[in-house]
Amino acid sequence: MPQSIRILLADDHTVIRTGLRLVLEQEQGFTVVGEAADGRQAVGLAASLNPDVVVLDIGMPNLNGIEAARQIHAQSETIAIVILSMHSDEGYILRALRAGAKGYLLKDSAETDLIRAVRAVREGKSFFSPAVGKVLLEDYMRKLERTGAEDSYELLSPREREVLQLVAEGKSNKEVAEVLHVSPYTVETHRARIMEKLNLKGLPELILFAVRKGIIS
Amino acid sequence: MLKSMRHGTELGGRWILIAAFVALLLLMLVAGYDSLSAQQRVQAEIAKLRAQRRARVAAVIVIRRSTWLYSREVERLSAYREPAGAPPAISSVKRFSLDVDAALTRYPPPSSGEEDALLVRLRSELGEHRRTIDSGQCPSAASLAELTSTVERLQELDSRMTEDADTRLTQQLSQLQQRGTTFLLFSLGAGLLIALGSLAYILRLEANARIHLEQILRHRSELQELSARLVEAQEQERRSLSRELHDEVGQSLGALLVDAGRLASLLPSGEDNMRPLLNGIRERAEQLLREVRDISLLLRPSMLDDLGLIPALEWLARETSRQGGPEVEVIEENVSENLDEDYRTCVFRLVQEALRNASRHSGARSVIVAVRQREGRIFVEVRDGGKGFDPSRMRGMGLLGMEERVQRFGGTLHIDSRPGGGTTVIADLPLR
Repeated sequence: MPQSIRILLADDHTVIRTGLRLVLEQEQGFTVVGEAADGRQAVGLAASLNPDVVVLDIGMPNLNGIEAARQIHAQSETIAIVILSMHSDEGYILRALRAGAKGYLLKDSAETDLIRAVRAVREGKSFFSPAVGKVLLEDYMRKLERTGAEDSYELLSPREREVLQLVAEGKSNKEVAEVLHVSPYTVETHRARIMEKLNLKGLPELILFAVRKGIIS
Repeated sequence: MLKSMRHGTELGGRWILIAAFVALLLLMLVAGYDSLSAQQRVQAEIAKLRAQRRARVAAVIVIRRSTWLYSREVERLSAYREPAGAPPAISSVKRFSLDVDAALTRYPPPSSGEEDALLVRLRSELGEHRRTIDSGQCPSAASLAELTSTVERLQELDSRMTEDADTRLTQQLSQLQQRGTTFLLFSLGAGLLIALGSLAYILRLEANARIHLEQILRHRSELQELSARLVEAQEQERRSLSRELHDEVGQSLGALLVDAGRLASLLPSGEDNMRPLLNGIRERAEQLLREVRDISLLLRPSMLDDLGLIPALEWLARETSRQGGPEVEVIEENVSENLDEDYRTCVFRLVQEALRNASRHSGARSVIVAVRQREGRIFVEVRDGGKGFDPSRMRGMGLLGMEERVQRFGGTLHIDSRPGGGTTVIADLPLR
């Protein structure tokens, strides 16, 4: 029997917390090891309990979810973070990603996607609510249409697209190299080319781009 | 009531002053005319008296001379003793007496009873002499002495009259002077009174004006204070409403969704007729949650507090184009991440209003929003390439609200626009 996934749940609303806890504990192999009512408490509990996954609400008193994520990520990179939010705006998503979150869930679909999200981030993958990808894509397409710009995804070679997807899914250069049977050095070169072609700065923007294009979800 | 009364007395004071000025002016006119005519009168008098005196003096000299010649001739005739040469003829005596007569006719008409009496007497004495001469006699020494003394009295009277005239003239002149001095003093006094009155009036007007000015300034600052508080109160109200909606309604709906989801998963596989119902509930709750979130964001974008100014502006930019507005690009330079909440709100609302105007009126396809921070100031610029307008003619409530917000921070708002030339809104805010 595989080891159970230990989860820390942080939301300032008791009703939501209780509901989510019940959803999570119904799932085989999931254990909620702690609950926090604000960001500061979440950072403290993350340090003392060392859970596998932290589920953080964005709008919390004292310290908001994004700041809490940044601090937890700085303490330990092995703790996977899922952000719970009301907003499907790329401003939030990009900042959540920059803070070290791997998953971004909209609250209106939390109860259906939470299990999948926790499982995905536990495996080191990214996870986004399907609705998020849809909104981001709409924004992107409208912008292309209005400004008459070219879809920069079209500039990528098939190999580069493969690398983009694998990197965005959360794989390291070494893992990508193994999947594609090339050297990690080659992967690094592809990555740099992708970033240049898409005019992106850093992994969070790359992941956001992938979500927007529906490459990952 | 009080105000109108005070106004009334102010007006009354003005009319009194005007009347006093007019009176003083009239007084001066009358005084000037009077002194001028008096002077003319005195001058005419002097000229007349001089002419009279000249005529009298000349006549008196001739009378004395002819009288003296006559009396010498009479004395020669009466003192004659034979045989000391040819006796003086009686006819020559008569001739001399006629000379005196002629001299008398040159005397100007008499101006006083005394003068007239003297002249009459002189004439009658002379007539007496003539009758004596005509009878071939020589006038007596006594009558001659009488005649001479009468002539002398005439001369005395004459010089006395001259003196009298001089005295009278001097009197008149001094009267004239006195009158002039009186007028002058009176005018000066009246002028001084009016000047004092005017001064008091002006001082009171100034004091009133100062009071009014202070009132106006106080009202203005009260008004500014009030509108600043209004803006603040509105912002506060929006924030608490937004939080209430988000935290209470939103979270309850979220909990409802979670429960519905759990119920769905707990539903035995046989109960297929209940599943669509449950799904309907979930969908409706989801939609409700989205609506609540949208209203909450409209009232107060939570990213302004969660993420900061620039992410909030970027969200606003996307939101604007999502709702069919223009494409908005946000440019940021050096803007501090922990900007004061007041400033974040101010800049956000400014840009929101400018974008609202651009979406509604400009017809622009793209808008550039630039926020720059340097040297302790924040510069906000919203530029569209739309239709533009004439800022001197159109000044909607939106622009006023923007100005209000900027002025609260001691900043300036500048709107650069002209029909067909696009619109640029520039705000310059000093940081505290």
